[in-house]
Amino acid sequence: MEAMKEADFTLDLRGESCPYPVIYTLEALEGMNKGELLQVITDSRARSGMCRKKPSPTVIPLPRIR
Amino acid sequence: MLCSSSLACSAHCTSGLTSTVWAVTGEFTRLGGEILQVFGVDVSGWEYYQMVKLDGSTWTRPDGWIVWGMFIGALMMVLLSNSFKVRLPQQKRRYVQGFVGGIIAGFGARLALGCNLAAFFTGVPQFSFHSWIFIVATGIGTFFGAKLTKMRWWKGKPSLARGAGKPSVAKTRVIQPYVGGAIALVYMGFVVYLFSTGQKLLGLGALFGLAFGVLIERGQICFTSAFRDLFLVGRSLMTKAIIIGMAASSVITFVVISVYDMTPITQIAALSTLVGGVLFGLGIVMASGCETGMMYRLMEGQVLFLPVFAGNVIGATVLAYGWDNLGIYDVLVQGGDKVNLIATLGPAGAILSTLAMLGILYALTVYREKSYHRNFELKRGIA
Repeated sequence: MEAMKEADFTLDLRGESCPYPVIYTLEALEGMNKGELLQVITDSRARSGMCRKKPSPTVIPLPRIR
Repeated sequence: MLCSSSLACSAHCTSGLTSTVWAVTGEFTRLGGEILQVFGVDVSGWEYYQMVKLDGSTWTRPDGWIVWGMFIGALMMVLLSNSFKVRLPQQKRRYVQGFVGGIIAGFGARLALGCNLAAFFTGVPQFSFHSWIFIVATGIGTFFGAKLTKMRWWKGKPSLARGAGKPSVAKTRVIQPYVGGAIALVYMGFVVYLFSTGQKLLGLGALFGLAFGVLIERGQICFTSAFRDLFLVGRSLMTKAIIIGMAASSVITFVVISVYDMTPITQIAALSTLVGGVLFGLGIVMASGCETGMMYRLMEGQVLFLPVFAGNVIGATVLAYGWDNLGIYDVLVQGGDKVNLIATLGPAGAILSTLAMLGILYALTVYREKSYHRNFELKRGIA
């Protein structure tokens, strides 16, 4: 399973409010290469189209979309 | 979607039952006036306070209890779902941004005689033309707000680290739901007390406030994101939900107005509506939340929204001062007029044009969403 793979980068966004977690995540993804894994740690209750809805605190490993 | 529709419906009941409308910024203005009075400032001569009727205290006004009920309803929901957590933004600049944005939003909302609640869920369904101006103006304001949000000096740099990080340890102790339940019981007892002592309007205010609080937290109703995220990340669910809520509310109001032959609530449409709407739109994006979104986020433990709340009250109070003392009324409001679509277009024209306007907004939303994702694909393709 891909989610089990060790993350290449971690974005710690705990405490940040909407919309910054989304902006930061999209930006970080843009600077990464194909196949790399980004781990996003957030406690925001922001509903994001990219992240699955989960109660805080949450770790959402996001595979590179490209 | 469901939340936004029920929101619109209960907003409707409020205006029918308590003869006040679901609005929060008016009360923020009065709150500011009350605070000034505590410090010995005589605001009784300020025209704005005569207009919004500053009498009694926030605890003796139905409008006041709508606000406090909303806070309590939101807090209750947060606790019941065990999701209260003190959250401090890593970027310290957020506090300043929230405070300044809060002031601008508070000022703009009151200049336009009401924030999104009064304009969207009361103004549009009551066919008050000022709400149309306000919607367009808010859209313009949020567009520039979204641009600002993306600037490097504004957003700050996140802490991107190499390798995997460690998440916080999940709490195993569950006490929040019990606290939430206790608050609910005490509050309901208080509402019963209000009714049994003949304070019916306060009781209704407290009850509707609570319902609104529950709904906005449950549905995470965020007007700021409805506009902003369209520009920022091409996300449209909240926008669509709010448009559908407005449409449903318009139809219901239309029926009620025709059956009971009521006079719709109409606000002045003037240059102030346009200027106020743009400022409001800009302010809510700067602050990451409008006057409503701020309330439930604060109750979730997002400390950022304390300065936003303070800013909202200060901005509204500054506007109340400037209304006659700085000549705001003479320059921006005086030339305006109360325009109601029922009076100008007839009942059928009013409902049809309102639904057409909402339809166009919906189409624009879908168009914006599609074009954002097309551009995003394109960008990815090149990279």
